[in-house]
Amino acid sequence: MNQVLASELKRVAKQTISPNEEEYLSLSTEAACQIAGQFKQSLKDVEIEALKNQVIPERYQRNLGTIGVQGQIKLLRSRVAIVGVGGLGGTALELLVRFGVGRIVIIDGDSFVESNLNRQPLSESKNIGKRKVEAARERVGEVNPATEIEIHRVVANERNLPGMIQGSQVVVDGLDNIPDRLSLEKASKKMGIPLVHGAIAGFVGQVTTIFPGDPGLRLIYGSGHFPRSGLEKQFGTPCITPALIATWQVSEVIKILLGWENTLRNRVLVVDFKEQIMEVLHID
Amino acid sequence: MEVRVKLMSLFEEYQKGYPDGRVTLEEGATVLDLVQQLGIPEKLVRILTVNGKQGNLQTGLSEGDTIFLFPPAFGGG
Repeated sequence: MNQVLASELKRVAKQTISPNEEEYLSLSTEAACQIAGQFKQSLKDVEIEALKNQVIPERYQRNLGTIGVQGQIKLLRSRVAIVGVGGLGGTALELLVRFGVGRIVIIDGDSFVESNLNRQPLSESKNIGKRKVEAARERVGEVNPATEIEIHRVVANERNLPGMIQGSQVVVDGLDNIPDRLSLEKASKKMGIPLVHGAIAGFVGQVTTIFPGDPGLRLIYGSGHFPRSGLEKQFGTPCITPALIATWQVSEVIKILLGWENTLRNRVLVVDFKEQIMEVLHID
Repeated sequence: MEVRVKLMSLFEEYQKGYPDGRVTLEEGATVLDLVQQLGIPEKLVRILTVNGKQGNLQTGLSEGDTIFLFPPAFGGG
């Protein structure tokens, strides 16, 4: 079956020349969709099969110089959970889908309100009141139909998180308060999944990667009681900060999925646009 | 002794009395003494460096040290 699929993929692919003047067989999304229907396979599996046979889904062509064909196959076979799809998680979703992560679990119980429009990429003037997970589902379908999603329209808590993140290789923190983040950290550790934390306030933000067994958020927030809302209410949430922090979170996710070294484990990236500060500090 | 303090913008209100970042402390002062003199709530100071190296509230300070204080960001959404 796979040999038939492979020869069909090679038949429909087009000889193309890459920007660095190398010839390759290019597969359009339209052709891949047709083959998926014909062979009753998922689009993602068709793309993986194509890559295994040196047929390049054109949508990933510009990824390959950076992550390679094997890296792209790894991403397509990966599962990532995003908890919260607002300013951080919405941006992370967009980038992970464009990278070609094969399966994304999206957890968010909120609906859009007008004050989200300044920063949350999934919010639009015309979808105020819409469930964020529904907007996420539509966006994924528009950008990359090969990415399979699983949506959970619930407010994440310590009890429901383990079941929802189970099977993911990485969890992305797209939350907006410390108590929920501590619950997410606990659930991620319980399930043995690395967590990529990001947070913002005004023009300041931070990113760190926490593996099970690492001290994690207590090195950043200390221990003790934290209110659900903090400095960000006073300093606001302008769009540039979540966009940058979420981008850095996605970089961490990709590195973890690909098994690359040099993540922000036991280190924290701190950024301050206003003071022009960007530093990576050890925390232990 | 005199040290230089640099704060992230979330802490800028605490730097108002020290526009050039120069703070005079007693000999033998620690980061905690500096934080208290600036009026920053201690629980907000978790990540800091002294002359580019990771420090903590108990780190002792010397003449001419440069201290960066990073507040944790809480939000997202």
